[in-house]
Amino acid sequence: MAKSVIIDAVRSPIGLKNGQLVGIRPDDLSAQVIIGLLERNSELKPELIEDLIFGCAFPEGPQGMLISKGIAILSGLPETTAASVVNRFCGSSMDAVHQISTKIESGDIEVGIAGGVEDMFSVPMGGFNPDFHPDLAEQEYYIGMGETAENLAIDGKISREEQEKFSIQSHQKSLEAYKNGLFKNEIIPIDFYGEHLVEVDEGPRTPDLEKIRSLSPAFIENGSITAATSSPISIGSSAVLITSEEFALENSLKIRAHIKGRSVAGVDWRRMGMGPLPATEKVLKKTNLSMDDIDVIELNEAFAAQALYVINSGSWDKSKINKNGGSIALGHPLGCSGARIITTLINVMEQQNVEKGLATMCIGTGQGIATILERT
Amino acid sequence: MNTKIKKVAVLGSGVMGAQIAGHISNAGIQSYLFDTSQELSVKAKENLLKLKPAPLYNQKNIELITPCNYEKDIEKINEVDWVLEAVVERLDIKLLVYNNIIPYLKSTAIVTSNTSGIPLKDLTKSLSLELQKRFMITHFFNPPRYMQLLELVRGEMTTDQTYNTMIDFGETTLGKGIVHGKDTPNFIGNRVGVFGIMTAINIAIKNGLTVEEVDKLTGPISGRPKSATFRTADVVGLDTLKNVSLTTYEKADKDEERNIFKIPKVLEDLIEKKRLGQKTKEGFYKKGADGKLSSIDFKTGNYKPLKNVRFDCFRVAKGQQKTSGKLRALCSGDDKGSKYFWEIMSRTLIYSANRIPEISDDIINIDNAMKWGFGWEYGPFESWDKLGVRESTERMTLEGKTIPEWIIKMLSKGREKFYNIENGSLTYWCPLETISKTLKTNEKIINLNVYKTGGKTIQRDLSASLNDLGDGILNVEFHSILQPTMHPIDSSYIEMINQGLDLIEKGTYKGMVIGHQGANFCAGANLNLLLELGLNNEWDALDFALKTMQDVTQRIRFSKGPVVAAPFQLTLGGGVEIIQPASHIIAASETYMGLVEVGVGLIPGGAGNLRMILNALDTNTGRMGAFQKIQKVFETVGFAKIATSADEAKQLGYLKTTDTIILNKDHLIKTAKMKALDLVNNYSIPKYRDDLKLPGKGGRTALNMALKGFKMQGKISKHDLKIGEKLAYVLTGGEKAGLTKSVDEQYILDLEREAFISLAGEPLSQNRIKYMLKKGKPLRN
Repeated sequence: MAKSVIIDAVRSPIGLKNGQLVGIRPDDLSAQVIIGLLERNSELKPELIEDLIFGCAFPEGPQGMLISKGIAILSGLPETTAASVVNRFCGSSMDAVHQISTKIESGDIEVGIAGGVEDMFSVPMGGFNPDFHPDLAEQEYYIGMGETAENLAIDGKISREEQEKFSIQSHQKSLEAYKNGLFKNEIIPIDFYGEHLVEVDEGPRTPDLEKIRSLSPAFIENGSITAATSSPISIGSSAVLITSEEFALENSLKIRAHIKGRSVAGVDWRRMGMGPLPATEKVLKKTNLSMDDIDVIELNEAFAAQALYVINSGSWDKSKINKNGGSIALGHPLGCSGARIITTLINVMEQQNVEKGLATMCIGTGQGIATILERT
Repeated sequence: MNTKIKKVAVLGSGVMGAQIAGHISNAGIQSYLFDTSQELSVKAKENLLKLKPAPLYNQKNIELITPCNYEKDIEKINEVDWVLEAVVERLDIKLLVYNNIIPYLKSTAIVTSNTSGIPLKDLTKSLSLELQKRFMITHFFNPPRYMQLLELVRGEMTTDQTYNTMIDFGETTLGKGIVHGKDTPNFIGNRVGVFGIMTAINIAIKNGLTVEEVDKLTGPISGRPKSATFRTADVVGLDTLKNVSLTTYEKADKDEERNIFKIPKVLEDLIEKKRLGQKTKEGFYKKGADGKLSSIDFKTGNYKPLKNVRFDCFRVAKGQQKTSGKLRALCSGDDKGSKYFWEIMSRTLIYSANRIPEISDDIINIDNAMKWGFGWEYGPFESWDKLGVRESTERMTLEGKTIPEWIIKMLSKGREKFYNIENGSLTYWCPLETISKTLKTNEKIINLNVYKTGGKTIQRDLSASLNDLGDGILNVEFHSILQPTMHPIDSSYIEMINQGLDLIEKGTYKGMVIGHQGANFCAGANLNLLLELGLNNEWDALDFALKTMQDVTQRIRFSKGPVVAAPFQLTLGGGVEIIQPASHIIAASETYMGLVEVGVGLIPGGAGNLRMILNALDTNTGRMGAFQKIQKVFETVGFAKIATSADEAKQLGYLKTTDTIILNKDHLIKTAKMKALDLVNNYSIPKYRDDLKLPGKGGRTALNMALKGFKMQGKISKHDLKIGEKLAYVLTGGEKAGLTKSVDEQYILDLEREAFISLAGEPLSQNRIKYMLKKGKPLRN
């Protein structure tokens, strides 16, 4: 069986409310990311890219009409490049990475791009025309994400103070990473229709402790979760270039990482944030590894309470996790985040010069997804 | 011919300049807002978004204002048709500013000053003869969006074209009430108004009344604004009050009451201690850290806690329904309060009369100035009429007061009142010619009170009338006997509308205008009646009442001829439901509209839900699908949002984007009549809608999820949740609607009635109604 390898991975800066990226079309945004990716890898002929799979959590409106094919055209890929859109909510673009790598390993294709996009400002969470099943509503299938995290905070006895400390660290780590230029290699600057250039994430900022402590609970009266301990609504796009190992060697492409393992798992949707635990367990088992073998981890921070629940319950080593900060600081554009944390993970592995990394995230509706990468 | 004003320059971006630019933007006109530095004008512009009460109808209007500075942008002056100067009240600075702009002025541009105290003749002394022709004073009152008064003063050289342009622009475009002043100190409004305030202070000190006692007597009970005397002074600013008062003292040296304009010690002391009123947080009143109010003690000059005020005259006055009765009661008691009130009232009346011909040749401009600039329900001469001119002058004479000659002459000629309305016209006494004169009619205004007396009322019921507006157009006029300022709906309204529609059906009339000229258009349903029916479990009667209301709204919608509605000021609940089915709405810009039933534990029950659905579905709002449109309605009605302007009412979907907004509320009836006439030609009745695509159960489940979220966040109560679910049920189209199914108008009406009745039976909703009736504000339970 063929092996799948990551040649390169990039992303746009992540934009926040009232920020400089609000108003750019998600397809235009993604096309710039793909063009940036292709320019960085000019030794690869675009004609050889067989498939473009994009993750998107709410693929409608400007994200509808099979946005991945539209992105392919806008980014100048030839008409021979096929495209599909995958939806696994927050896990969408990690799933896209899984799909491309699976196709490569099965021999269906040799080269593909997996990515994801979400513009949470032009397409609301829930979509434009929600139409819910009353029976599912009865079973709390449509439960608010904040509420699921409040459930975990209660289950895991995670205090507001602990959540705030975690969030502050997320910001501090990403500010530090920016100071040391650690995001430089993963971000493609975005031109906003000739008006301005956006080069950095808009989320990270020096925490205002007084303000953080003064915030009202965001989801439940007397709850413990606030806007400061949740990932912000945002816009962003990410893309990963994957080939077979054989193809990479034949074409003298530098391999940045091997995709060693993939997994998905289901959990109680009222506690969707615990998804990374069984997903990680599965992927470790499949790859015959233990948590001790993993050098660094990218754990998507949907909520501080959710991330802390996973870390505490799994007894994960905090020092390995989110070295350059996480989604609470950077933002969590749903469909973009999976490929975004894989992109960040590769860079962190290179920066730390380590071999094995894990990227994992929770998914609304009660799921987890995980990927193990290896540098050789 | 009038000059067309398409672009304006406002010089000086202070409180008045910036807000006037703001109001000019409300009229959809571009302006350049100048100041000495760009920083100042930019800041002043930005501040318009923060000021309370809001100077703009819509925050977007701000885009029409360009901040400028004299150095960089002076050439822009040559683009404008009107230059309004509102710089600091110093003659030398004003002249400097004029010199600056004169070289760049268009040869047709009008230049006006917003001065309140500098004589016109001083302003124009150094101007060229040519410019003097295009120069005059336009004096706005603060806040300019809300104060109706605009005083105009012309100089000897000012041309008719200049003057008439500003009359028309001020009245029609900016919606102001025009008062014609003379070049005398403080013109009319501030001359008489400040006399009133200074008299109130002086006599209060002399008679030993407290600040709160004075305000109790000089507030709404006497047809004056809530801020009465001392709160008004605090809002204006005590330093400003002093400056204006001293202007009269210094410049009106022949004024027989000149000494009243001297600043009393208590006022001097307050100003010295920088207790300037609202802007320094303390003045005549002070709010303590505990939120409790205290007021200045005239004797000690210290603050003391407010005391409850009790006056017999006040109690008697409160029992009177009309202001005329209240005024008589306040003047005719024998307690301390009444003695005080009569003293300040009688002195103000005499003072006003003595100002003719000094500040005005007629009584009308003085009355208008006080009504529009100081919020008096009646001007001095109108009030005098209410008190009885002969009777009160006799009392004044007995007390040794000097009655102005011209009034004695008027009475001797057998004329008992300053004003008289009969046979469709208004006559008023002219002191100069000592004859009664007929008021010239303004072609843009139909004054219903006057007009009706010409035999134009064809049917009069207790709280509503049917008037003939001429040219085949009817008018349904509300004049509630229940609450004469709020005009809640009663069966009279429905009866008159139905009779009017009958006449249109028969072909006797062609169209109809629903509108009147009271204080507010309609504050909604008669809550007392609703509560009574609910408490007594009279569900059939309630259903019948609702069905009757729904039916009349549908009759309006499908009338054979056009119905034009003309709302203004408060238009709530049932008031909204009455106007929404009209073929067209002419709304006053100052209309505060909302379906606020949720506040009393109900949802709209007179077709409000159907109207909101129709407005939403017919509005082309970009990417919004049916769910989002209905979600917006759900939030608007669910949170009982009240629009702060007619413009906002359009954004919220209470009005259609095609409805008309005009700035002058006095023009409503005439404009509505002309619109009805316009619609009569080729009028087509709207099509009954049976193709309403609503979100149905799936969408409703999503809305209910959102509601549960609000409940969890503590934003709404359990009862709110219940009301919200009922509202969602109606708006999403009950059981029949869905993505693949359509429903019709009557189905929505039936759903709405059912939901309304079930809520009316809820004890928590009944508590909300009781609370509203008692306290006048919503209960959260």
